[in-house]
Amino acid sequence: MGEGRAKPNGCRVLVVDDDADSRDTIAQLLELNGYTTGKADNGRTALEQLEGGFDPDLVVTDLMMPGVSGWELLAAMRARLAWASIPIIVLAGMSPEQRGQLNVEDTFEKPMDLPVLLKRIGELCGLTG
Amino acid sequence: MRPNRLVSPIFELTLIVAIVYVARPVLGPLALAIYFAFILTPPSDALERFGVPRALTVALMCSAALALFIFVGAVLASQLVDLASEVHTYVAQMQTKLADLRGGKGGTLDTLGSALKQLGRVFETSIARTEKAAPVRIVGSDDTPIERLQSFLGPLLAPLTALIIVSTLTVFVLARREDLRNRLIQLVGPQNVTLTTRTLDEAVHRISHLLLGLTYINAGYGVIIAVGLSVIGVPYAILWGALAGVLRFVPYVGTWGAAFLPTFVAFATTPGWYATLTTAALFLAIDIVTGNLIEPVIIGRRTGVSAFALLVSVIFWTWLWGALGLVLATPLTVCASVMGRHIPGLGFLSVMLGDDPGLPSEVNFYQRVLARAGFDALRLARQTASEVGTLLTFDTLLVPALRLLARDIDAGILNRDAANSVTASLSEIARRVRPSSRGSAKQQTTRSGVFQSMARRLSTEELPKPEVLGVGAAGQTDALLIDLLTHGTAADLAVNPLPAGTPQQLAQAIIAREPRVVCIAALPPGNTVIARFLCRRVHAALPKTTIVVFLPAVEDDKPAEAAARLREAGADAVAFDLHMAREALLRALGTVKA
Repeated sequence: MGEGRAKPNGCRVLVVDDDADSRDTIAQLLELNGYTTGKADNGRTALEQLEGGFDPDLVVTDLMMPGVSGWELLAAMRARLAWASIPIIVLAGMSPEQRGQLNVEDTFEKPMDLPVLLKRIGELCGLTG
Repeated sequence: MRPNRLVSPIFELTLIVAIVYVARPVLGPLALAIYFAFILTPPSDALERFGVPRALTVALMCSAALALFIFVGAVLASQLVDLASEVHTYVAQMQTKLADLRGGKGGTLDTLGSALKQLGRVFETSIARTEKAAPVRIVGSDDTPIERLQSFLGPLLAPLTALIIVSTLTVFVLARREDLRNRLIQLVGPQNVTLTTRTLDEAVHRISHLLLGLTYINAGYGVIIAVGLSVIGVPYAILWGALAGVLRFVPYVGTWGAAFLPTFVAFATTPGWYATLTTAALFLAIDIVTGNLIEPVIIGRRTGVSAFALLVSVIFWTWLWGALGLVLATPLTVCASVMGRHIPGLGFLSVMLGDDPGLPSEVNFYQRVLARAGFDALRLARQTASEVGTLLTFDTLLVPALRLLARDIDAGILNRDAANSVTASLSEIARRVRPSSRGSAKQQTTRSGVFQSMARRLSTEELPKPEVLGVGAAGQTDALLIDLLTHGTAADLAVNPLPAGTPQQLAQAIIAREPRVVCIAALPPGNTVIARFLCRRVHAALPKTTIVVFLPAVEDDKPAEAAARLREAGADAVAFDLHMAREALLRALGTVKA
C-alpha cells in the first residue's frame, strides 16, 4: 500500500455500509490499490446499483443498516442467479452468535485489519493466489 | 375475492359475438361495402394517377362493378331458371343410368335397394299405427291485389334493398376513404397516430393485395372451369364456373363443394362415364395448377394468416352471418391478424390467426424437454442438425434452452431437482445428436478433391487431435456448455473437461495442468464474475496459456462490456457462440491462422 494510486486492476467492488467514515475509508483504500468502487449506504441502494448494472467482482457489506439490512441484501443476492455467484465479505460489529449462519465467502469483525481485508479482497477477485 | 381471470374474457367475447350477430343488418352491408372498396381502391388509385378526378373515378368504378354484377347475375339467373325447368328430364335420365348401374335383378345395388325398401315399409307401418290421419281442410284463396303484389315483390325487395344500401355505402367509402381513415385515427386518439397509421397501412395493403389477387385468380379459375365444362359438354357451364369462382374463396373445401354439382349433373345428363370423370379431373388439375403455380406467384406463399385459422374463421362467420359471412371471412381474419400484430392488448389474435410458428423453435425445444418428451426434443434437434449442422443446432436450440432454464430457476418456477433433470436431458441430447460435417464447413471449403478428403480423414481419425482444457465456471449449466463444445467440435478438437469445483479449486486445477489452451464456459450474467476470477488467476500464473471464454451472451447481457472486462481480466478471446468458440480455439492452437 503505497502513497500513489496503483494502476487500475479491472476489479469492481461494491462497498455497503451506513457508516460513511467506514465506507469511505474502505473505498479509498481500494481505489488507491487499483480497484473501481461503488458505494451504498444500505441494502436498498446496493440492490439499486446491482440492478443498474454495476456488476461487481465482490461486495463488502455491513449487516446492521437502516432500511434493507445486510442480511436482507445477502438473501436477495443469493436468490438471483445474476448475483448469486458474486463473492461477499461481511463486516460485522457483533459476535458470531449474533450475526448467525451467513452464506458468504468471508467475515471480518469491526474494527478490522485493513491490510488483511485488502489481501482477502485481492484473493477473492483472483488478483492473488 | 379475486375475480376469475378466465370468466371476464369469455364474457366479453360472448358479448361481442352477440352484438355482431344482432347488429348484422347494420354491420353486414357496411362490411360488404368496405370489402368492395378494398377491391376497387387499387384501380381507382391507378385512374387518379392519370389525372382522372375522384368523383369520376368513383362513378366509373362503381358503375362498372354494378354492371358486371347485374350482367353476371342475369346470366346466372337465366341458367338457374333453365336448370329448374329441366330437372325432371335429368331425373329420368339419372334413373335410367342408375338402373344400368344396378346391373339387372339380383345385382348388388338391386339387393341393397330392396333391403332399403323393406326397411322403409317397416317404418311406414309403425308410423301409421301411431299417427291418426289428419283432417283435410280446403281453404279458398281470398288474397287482395295488394297482398298478391306483396307476395310477388316480397322475395325481391330484400335483395334489392341490400344492393342499393351496399352500393351507396361503397360509393361513400370509396369517395371519402382518406377522410374515413383520418376520423378513425382521431377516434383512436392522436397520441396513437403512429400505431393506428401502421396498423391501417398494413391492413389495407395486405387485404387489398390478398383480395385483389384472390379475386383475379378465382375469376380466372371460374372462367377456365366454365370453358372446360362447355368443351366437355356439361350443361350450364357458366353457372358452374361462377359457382366455382365464388366457392374457391373458401379454403380447402370450397373447390370440392363447387366440383360436386357439375360432376353430378355430368353424371346425370351424359351417357357413359367419360364426362363425369373428365369433369372431376378438370377440377383436380385446375386446382393443383392454381394452388401451386399461380397463387404463389400472384399472392405469394404467405398471406399472413394460417390456413387452418382461415378455415375456422370461414365456419365461424358463416355460422354467424350466413352467406355474407362466407364472403367476408377472409378479409375479417386478415384484419384481426393485423390488429393482433400491432395492438399489444390483442396480441393473442396474431398468435391464433397468424401464420408464424406458434412457438419459437428454441422455446418449443425447451418445452419438449420440460415436458419430459425427450424423444421429441431429440428429433427436433436432429432435424435441425440435418439442416444447419450440429454447432448451429447447439447454438440455436440447446444454449437458448439453457438460458430459459436459468430464467425459470431464477423466477422460482423450477426447483433444483427439476433443473437437474432438464440439464441431464440436454446433456443426453447433445451426446446423441450426430456430429455433422456442416459445422466444419468453412474449413472444408478450403480443401477439395480426393487427396484432401483422405488427408482430412487421416487428420480426424488417425492423428491425435489438438487438446483443449474445458472448464465450466460454475454449476451444471456451465458444465453442459463444455459438453456442447466437446460434442460440437469433436471432429476438430479434443476438449478435456475439468471436473466441477469451487472457483479456487478450478483455478488451482487449471494451473496444475498448465494447458496450452483453456476454454472457460460461463452462462451470463451470473457466472461471468467467476469467469473473470479464473481469467485473472490463470493469466497471472500461466501467462503463455491462451484463455478463450465461451460466454453465450445476448443483448441484455451487454456482451461488448462483458467481453471488454473479461479481456481486461486476461482472456485472449471471448466467443458468444459455439461457432466463434471453435474458431477461436482453432486459431489459438495454430490450426487456423488469425
